[in-house]
Amino acid sequence: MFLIWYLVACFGSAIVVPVFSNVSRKAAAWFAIGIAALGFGWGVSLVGSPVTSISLPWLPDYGIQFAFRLDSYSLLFWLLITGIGVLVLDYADKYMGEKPAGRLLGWLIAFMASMLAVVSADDAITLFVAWEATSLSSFALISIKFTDEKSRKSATQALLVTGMGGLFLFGGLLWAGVENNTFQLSQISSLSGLALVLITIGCFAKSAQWPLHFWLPNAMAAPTPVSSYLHSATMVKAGVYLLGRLSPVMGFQPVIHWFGLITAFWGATLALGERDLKKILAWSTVAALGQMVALVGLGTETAAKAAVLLIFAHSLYKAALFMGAGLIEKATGTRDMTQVGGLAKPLRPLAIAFAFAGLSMAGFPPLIGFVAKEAALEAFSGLSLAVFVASSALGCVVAWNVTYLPFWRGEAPETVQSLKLTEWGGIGLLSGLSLAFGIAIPLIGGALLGPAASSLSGSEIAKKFSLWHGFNFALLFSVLVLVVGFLLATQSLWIRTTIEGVRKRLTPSTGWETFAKNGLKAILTSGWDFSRVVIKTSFRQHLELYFVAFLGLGLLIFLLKGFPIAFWHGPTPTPIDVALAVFASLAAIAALFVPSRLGTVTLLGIVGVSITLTYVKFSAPDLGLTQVLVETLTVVLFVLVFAYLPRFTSISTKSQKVKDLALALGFGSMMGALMLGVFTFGKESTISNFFAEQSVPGAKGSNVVNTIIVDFRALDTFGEITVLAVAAMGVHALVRLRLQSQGRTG
Amino acid sequence: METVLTLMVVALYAAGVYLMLRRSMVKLLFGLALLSNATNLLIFTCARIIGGRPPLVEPGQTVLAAPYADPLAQALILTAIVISFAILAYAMILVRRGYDLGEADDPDELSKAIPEEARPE
Repeated sequence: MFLIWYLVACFGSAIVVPVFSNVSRKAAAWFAIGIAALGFGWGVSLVGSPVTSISLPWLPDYGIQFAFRLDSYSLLFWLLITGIGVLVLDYADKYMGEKPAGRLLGWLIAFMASMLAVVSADDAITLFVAWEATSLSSFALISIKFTDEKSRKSATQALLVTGMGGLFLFGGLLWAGVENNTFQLSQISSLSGLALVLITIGCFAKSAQWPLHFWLPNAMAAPTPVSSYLHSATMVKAGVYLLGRLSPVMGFQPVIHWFGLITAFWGATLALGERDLKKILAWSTVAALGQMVALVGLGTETAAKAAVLLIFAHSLYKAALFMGAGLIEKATGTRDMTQVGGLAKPLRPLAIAFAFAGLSMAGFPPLIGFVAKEAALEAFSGLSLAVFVASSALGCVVAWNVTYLPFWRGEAPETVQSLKLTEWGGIGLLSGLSLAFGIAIPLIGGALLGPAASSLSGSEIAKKFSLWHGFNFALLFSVLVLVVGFLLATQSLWIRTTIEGVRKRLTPSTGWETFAKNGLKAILTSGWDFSRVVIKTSFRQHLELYFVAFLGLGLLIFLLKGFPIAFWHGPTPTPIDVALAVFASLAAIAALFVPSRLGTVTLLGIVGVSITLTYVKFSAPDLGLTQVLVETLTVVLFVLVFAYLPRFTSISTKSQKVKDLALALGFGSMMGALMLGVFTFGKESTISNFFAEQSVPGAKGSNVVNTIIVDFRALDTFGEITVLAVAAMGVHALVRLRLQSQGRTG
Repeated sequence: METVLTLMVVALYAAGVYLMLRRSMVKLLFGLALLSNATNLLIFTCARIIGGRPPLVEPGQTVLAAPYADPLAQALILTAIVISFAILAYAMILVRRGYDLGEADDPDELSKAIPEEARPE
């Protein structure tokens, strides 16, 4: 139960913190950090304990619940999200400096809570809602500098890609739920091809897998705290998380595996062609996500172990690097790595922290990244292994570019100020943990990572986690990766200019991003064009279209049903009945030809009164009463509003009139035919019988029409009154406006 | 009697549609009024009509004795009459306002005053 209350509290404080921040910035920030720390502490207390689960009924008829289940795999994510959340919230508060930080902190907490809900949800629909909440809050976070056009555009792009992915995911989850006859994720035992494809597309969009990867580097328009949180530790891992969650059901999926490897290679390559530190890190995140997806797609036990290690290691070093990139920008005013150098001197602690993070990223012993890479090398084989080695070697170059070049090469400008401990402390902590967990891998492996890998793969993994595996192939390849990486790193400048050159030569009309942009544009313009076909600028033509469409639809029904028509013989008409009907019809037809307004109004009044009398004659006194009141009011209103307008002029051409007449007659005849069609059905209305029986005992009223309106269907009547009130307000406002424009005030 | 009422509905619909298609906003409103009336009458007739049996429970009785006029259809029409009046009144004021601003009753003239939105680029 704590879990649900905690999530509720998080969403609550997401609203409270921004407001409270105006009163006391410091207290609000500490409160936000405290909330995250509370979640982290709770998570730590659960390590080693059995699965926690809770569920509340939501839509029990459909088997949908607010169900949460925290097993070891979910707990790993929980700890990463809350743990890095604490550091990021602290960092965000300082990053914003004097600027108001309330909104940023609030959205970060909201995002954290949504993400926690994603990784702990045990119900497909709960998961989907949380999933969409992460998309929405990340939209708000990326566009937090909403006055900047680029931020808005990037945020929209991210929302469109992940939102579209969300739709696929929703379809997939529903399909899987229907097939398995349960929406409980832990009960899903099989996935058909369609469900799998849909879910995979959703996860790929979220986790930036090729070819849906392009939104992630653009999302770097966000402030650095956002990037370090969303794009390292959490949001982008949601897709990996879900694929992993379903891994026991999926087994080996070559398509997912290979898409992951393509992404890994492609992301690492593009990372080498960038100068902007954050973009480099973004591409390398894409690459790391690709490696994780490739591992999850394998579905073996060693792959599960490697995936968990990689998720853990990547979160630690990437969050540190992102936050550090923000500090470098603060200190030097630029993130362009070709513009900065020699920062190791003024920013000594940051340089050392960066070095450790970079070594973990490159997979250098004894850091945790090395353990992860070793495990991954064990899991792959054949061509997959080759691609993985290549992408890892490129990853080493990326690590070199990020951690060596800005710090240890060239001279730093004089203006760079040294950092305070509170500023680099979080980064130092994360890097220190990368080292500590690497050395203490048997400990953390046994307590946290081992059980997580077991629940990821769905079977108990007996393999121990250790730093030293002895001399084996994995170690050989690990060394190979480092050596090749180092050799390439010495040529990193050349590599970058080459990639930049190639990218420049490719016209902007190629690439997935442009493809997606053009697709979106095509949807918008074709929608616009279509609306021009349907919605005419002249609403007279618009109406015409409606009538024609209606006529066509009616004809279609008749053609399909074979003209069922019955002449039902009710009461025999008396001469007076017939006279009333004829009178009303003639008045309606005459209204077409009368040139004066007043004359037409009079004729309409005649129609209304005839109908009133017909209602009264055929047992509907209430209708007669209402109709006569409304008819009187209508006539009075018409006269009041339109009395002083000029006479009608005849401006339509003859052919237009003939066309309209044909349409009008056709429409009228079709409605008549529909009525005759209705008469073919018997009249055994059970609904009316209910009211006839229940009016007196149920509603204590002898007028059945009245009891229906004020009792049985009171809510409808309430809606009706609302419509009347709204219309009255509109009329009032317009009349006032009119009086004012005439120089009088109402 | 149904046949007679059906013909009346046909006449009302035809007249209403024709009026709505005229190049006059005021005639559009007249047409709208006729259309509402025609629709109400259609529902009324389709629910089967009967003379002299209003859906009122006799004093002392607890159940409405058959045969009776369909109370549900009547309740629906009652709501429809009121709603269409509200819409008509609002539309009247709108048209009047449009006339005051544009000095025109012709919808084709009025629509010329509406700027073309830009096609999304």
